[in-house]
Amino acid sequence: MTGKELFEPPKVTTINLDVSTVILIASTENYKEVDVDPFSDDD
Amino acid sequence: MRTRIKGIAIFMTAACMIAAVSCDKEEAPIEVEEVIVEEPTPEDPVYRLVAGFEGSDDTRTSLVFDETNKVVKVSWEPGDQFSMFGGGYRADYVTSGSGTSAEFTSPHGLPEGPCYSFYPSSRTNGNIPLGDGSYHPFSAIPSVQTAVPGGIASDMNIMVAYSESQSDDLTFRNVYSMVRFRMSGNIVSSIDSVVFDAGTTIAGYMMIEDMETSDPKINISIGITGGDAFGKRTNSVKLLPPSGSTFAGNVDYIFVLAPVDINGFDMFFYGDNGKYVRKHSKKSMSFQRSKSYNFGVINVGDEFPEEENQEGVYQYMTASMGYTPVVLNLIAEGYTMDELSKFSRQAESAADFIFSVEPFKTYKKYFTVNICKVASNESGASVTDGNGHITQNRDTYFKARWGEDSYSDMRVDETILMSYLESKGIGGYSSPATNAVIVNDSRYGGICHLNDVGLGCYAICPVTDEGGPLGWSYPGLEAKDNLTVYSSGDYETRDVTEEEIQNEIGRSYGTWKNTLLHELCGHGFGLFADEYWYNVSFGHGGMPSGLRGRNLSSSLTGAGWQSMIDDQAALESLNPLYSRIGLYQGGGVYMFGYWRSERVSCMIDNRAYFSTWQRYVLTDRILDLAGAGSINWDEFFENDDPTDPVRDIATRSDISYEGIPIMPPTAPPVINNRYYE
Repeated sequence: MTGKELFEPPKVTTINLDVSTVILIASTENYKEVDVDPFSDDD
Repeated sequence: MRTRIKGIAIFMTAACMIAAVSCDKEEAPIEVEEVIVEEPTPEDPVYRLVAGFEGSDDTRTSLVFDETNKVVKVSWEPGDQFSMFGGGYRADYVTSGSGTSAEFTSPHGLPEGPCYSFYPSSRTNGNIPLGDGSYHPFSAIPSVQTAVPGGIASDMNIMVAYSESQSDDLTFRNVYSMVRFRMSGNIVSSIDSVVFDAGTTIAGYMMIEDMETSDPKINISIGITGGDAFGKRTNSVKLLPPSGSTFAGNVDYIFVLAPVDINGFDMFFYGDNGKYVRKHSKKSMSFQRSKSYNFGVINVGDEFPEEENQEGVYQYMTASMGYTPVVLNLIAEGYTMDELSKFSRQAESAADFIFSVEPFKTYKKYFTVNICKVASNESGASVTDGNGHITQNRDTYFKARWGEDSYSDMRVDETILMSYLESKGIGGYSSPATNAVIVNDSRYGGICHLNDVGLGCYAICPVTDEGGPLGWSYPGLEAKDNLTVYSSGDYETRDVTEEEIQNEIGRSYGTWKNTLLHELCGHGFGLFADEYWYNVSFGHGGMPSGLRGRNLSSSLTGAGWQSMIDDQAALESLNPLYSRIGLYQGGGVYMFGYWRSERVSCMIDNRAYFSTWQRYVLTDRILDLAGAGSINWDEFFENDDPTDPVRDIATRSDISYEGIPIMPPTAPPVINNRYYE
């Protein structure tokens, strides 16, 4: 079996609902920001 | 209606936990097995959920910088899509909303059971359902990214979420790190790419693990055949100007990278004229998941300097204590002229790493570090049969070579090396300068040539896997009793337990620079013996002469560090970590007959930690070579830091170490006393 075959996406199938839709709320996560002075000579 | 639909699950085996580059070259690490999944028949296919997330807003940009609260909000945009996986099926969701919390809808149903969600849908093609029903998506950080003023392309922010069922709310977690910067200077609009070079893997394909937790991990070590097609792993990220535009001054630009630890890095600002500005940072940084690192304004100057790719020696660090400089030379081998700037970066990064480790960190100002840019006609190093006979020749300056599967015959042409150092006035046979030949070869290896008087010592160390992660293990078997003197035929051993590894010893991970630390600083500078051992082996050779092997004792009495044991209570009052000092049987490649001062150190598994006695001896040698007088006990302990990053600094929660190739110890040093006899 070649590598290419191994890395093909798995055949995951969708199932269509007959009458309605799924509804949900998805929220995100904040990035925390860190100040860096990368080119100072302090270390 | 019940139909049977074929799905595919990919089962990962222990054998698959092998990185793409590994010394033992295992292939095809993933087995594929076909499974049958039955279509579900949800009784009530409609799920309605209540939003409980605070802080929603209506902004329509993907990233919102909140300078006051030092956070970057991630906002959905209309049209955003994610995919949810469960039970062998996928459901695609889309939103018409926006803000940090939004309503998504899907026309697809999933079977009962856990659901794994991945944003964005457009990049789910590496999703791997595991045999246990969980999902470990593969995603890729592109090594080439296109700048978006004030943000990133929405598909660059990889997020994952987990829910017990399709009816649960979702909180997406960020997977990667970001760097934000601005530029100033006249050449900004002439810059056609910005390259961030970390010297270790920061981009390419990687697996996302622990999606079930609030702190998903990334795994940059699991190798899969064909993974490169998804995104080849690289040590650098290149940021291109915004589409159809140029970079501009005073505008925020962002690139995405893997959350990893790095020791120093470079940023290159390449001009459309082929020239570049290089900014080097000596900082060790720990990039973490879901953090944005604001580098502020980087002044790139008003013109591009001349090319760096030329031969020569330059001082990367200059001793400033007023004593005789203690000299380390880092020498290029197997780098062509075009690769010399790469060598500079790797050598500087190695120096940054060495001087982040005690006692080199404390005594940094005693050292001069010369970086020797020597061009070879060909890249890499010659390959031998493992016994010194070249089977594949490379035309390199110092004639480095070693075996394909063995590296105990690792050599350079010593005459050429010493002549070079003498010609430059920076070392040679009779010089105390310690030398490292850094070889532009991705194979594993490392060795040191040293002698009893510490003159003309040199290590050879390849840039294994171009900086990719490596690991080293503690021996699995050791002397049952530290204080019993055994003889051949009369011995007892014990297994080192997993509990001991986890609680007392730790696991050592790093890069080729850890090998260099062991070879150059441990063997070459400290003149230490190895402290690992081969299973059930007896050493009866007594102690070496001169400065060599001071880290070991061949008897239970008279160890060099006995005064530390005698004074241990006082030392522990200074720092409880000094409780690690003792007498531990095993060392110098022998399980019995030699004792070391601590259970584990750089001389066993290449960790960035020398034992207290090793640090004392290293400090003694630094002061001696500098002509700065004798080491002072009290002064040493005032300056000393016994922290071991492996055991005493919390393991990173956002990186998976699974799958990092565990390398065997490098061969013992070559003792080369013939010049002095």
